[in-house]
Amino acid sequence: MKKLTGVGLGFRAKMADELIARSPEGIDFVEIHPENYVSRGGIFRRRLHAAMERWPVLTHGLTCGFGQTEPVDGEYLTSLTALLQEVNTPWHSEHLCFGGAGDTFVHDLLPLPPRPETLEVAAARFFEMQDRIGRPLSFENVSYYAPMSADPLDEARFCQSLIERGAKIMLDVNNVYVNSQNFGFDPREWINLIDLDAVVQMHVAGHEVREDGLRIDTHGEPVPDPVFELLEYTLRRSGPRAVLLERDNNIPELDTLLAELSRLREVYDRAIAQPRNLEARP
Amino acid sequence: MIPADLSLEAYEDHVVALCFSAAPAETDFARLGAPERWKIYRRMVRSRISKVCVSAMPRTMRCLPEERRKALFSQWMAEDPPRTRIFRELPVQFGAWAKPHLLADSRAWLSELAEYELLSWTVRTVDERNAQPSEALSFERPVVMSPSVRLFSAAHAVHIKRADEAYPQERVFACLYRDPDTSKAVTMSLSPFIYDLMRRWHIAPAESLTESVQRTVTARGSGIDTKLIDGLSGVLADFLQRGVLLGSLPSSA
Ligand SMILES: [Fe+2]
Repeated sequence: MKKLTGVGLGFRAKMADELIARSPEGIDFVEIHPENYVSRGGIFRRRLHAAMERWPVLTHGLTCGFGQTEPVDGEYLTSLTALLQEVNTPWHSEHLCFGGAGDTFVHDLLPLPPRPETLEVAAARFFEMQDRIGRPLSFENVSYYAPMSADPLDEARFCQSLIERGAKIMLDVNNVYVNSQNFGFDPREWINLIDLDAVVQMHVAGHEVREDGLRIDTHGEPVPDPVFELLEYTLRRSGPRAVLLERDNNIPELDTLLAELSRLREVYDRAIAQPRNLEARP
Repeated sequence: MIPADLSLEAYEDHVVALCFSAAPAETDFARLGAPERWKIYRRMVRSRISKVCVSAMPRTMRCLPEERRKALFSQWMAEDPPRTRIFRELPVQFGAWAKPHLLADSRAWLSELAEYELLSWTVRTVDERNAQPSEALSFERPVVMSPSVRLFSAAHAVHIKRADEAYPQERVFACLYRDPDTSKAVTMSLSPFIYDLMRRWHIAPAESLTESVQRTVTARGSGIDTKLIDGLSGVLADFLQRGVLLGSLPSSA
């Protein structure tokens, strides 16, 4: 199968029906959160099947953070695996974070201290999950608001260590940018620390800037210019990948979203039209 | 910064406690450095979880003053924090926890309203792939219901929306199901007999339709007459048309 590349859109309940009815040009794939579809019927399943008839569907989980310390939830992984098979996703992604402790779920993506202990936990969990779901898995770097390390670039080194163990990354460019602004580092330096051959997919999104300057990763705003610039920088070094526009909150009219997707397409086409930049690789 | 002597597991437990404890101490926030930032996490987590509960039971929530609502959410998160990874299931977990608190309210209809709203919320997303196989309806075989069907009985007419939120006392027997075409939750009022019959279908799913009718009639101390038979045929036809009933269990099953 040819590797999936191009630009895609997060498939969200609020705009799903219109997106299906219009089936506009220029969408190479859509992405779903499997938690919203596992063991769920009714209109959600119908929409999912309509999406599958039109586009390749990628899956992006929210609740199997690789930093969790309790054993993986085998029952959930069984239902998840069935769903991944149903939509035939070429790969699945989860976050390099934790989302609870024991049997308690916070329903948020909480940051991990980049330490050897965490790396062991995350690597073990990553490969166990990949074995269980029986298809390629990747981890997403998250945005965070409380400092995890004296040097914020330790996060990139931590991701790279996991890559060196054999994991693939679902690189969220907006998250790198948000963290760079909140913790004061050059986001390109962060990208330069990553082996971009290990990138299977990327995310771009918008975020909120609070009055005190703190940036919160809301996925509720248009993608700002510096995030597009960082994406272009990354794509020039990685070559073509699947790039998703994430919009989860404050979802605008579909035309507005499609206009943003066209802008993403322009950036994408421009970046991959140039010869690949192979400098500054780890 | 995260103290180096805090293990990953202890760090995660600490953060979860910061999110869900009723009132973490300043020192608890400060332990991980950047206390203000951890307070942001706490606020985001709690608001996201409360919001989905409010959206699942808007009418119930409107009847609770903001302070009372906040106090309930806070007590819930401290006593019985979310144990499901499925976001849409959070309101049901909250509802189960909150039931005794709502029952204690002077408005006797409040807990019934909460139960009704949560049933509507659940019915919309039941997985129809859990349906048993079915063939044409036969009195000799057990019935097959849509997996979305839920029974509801109450002492107040909470299933009818009212602007003044003073739900009148009225014995209500109903079932909720998902309309197969619109995927919306539908409430259907039932006679006490049909309600009991459907309960029988839930309790004794292996019984033939004839048996379940006989047992229901006996339990109610009434008899089978032509009026009952005619009424029943009309209801069964309506159930099949609405998708409440899918048919009968095949004889091979
Ligand atoms: Fe993302």
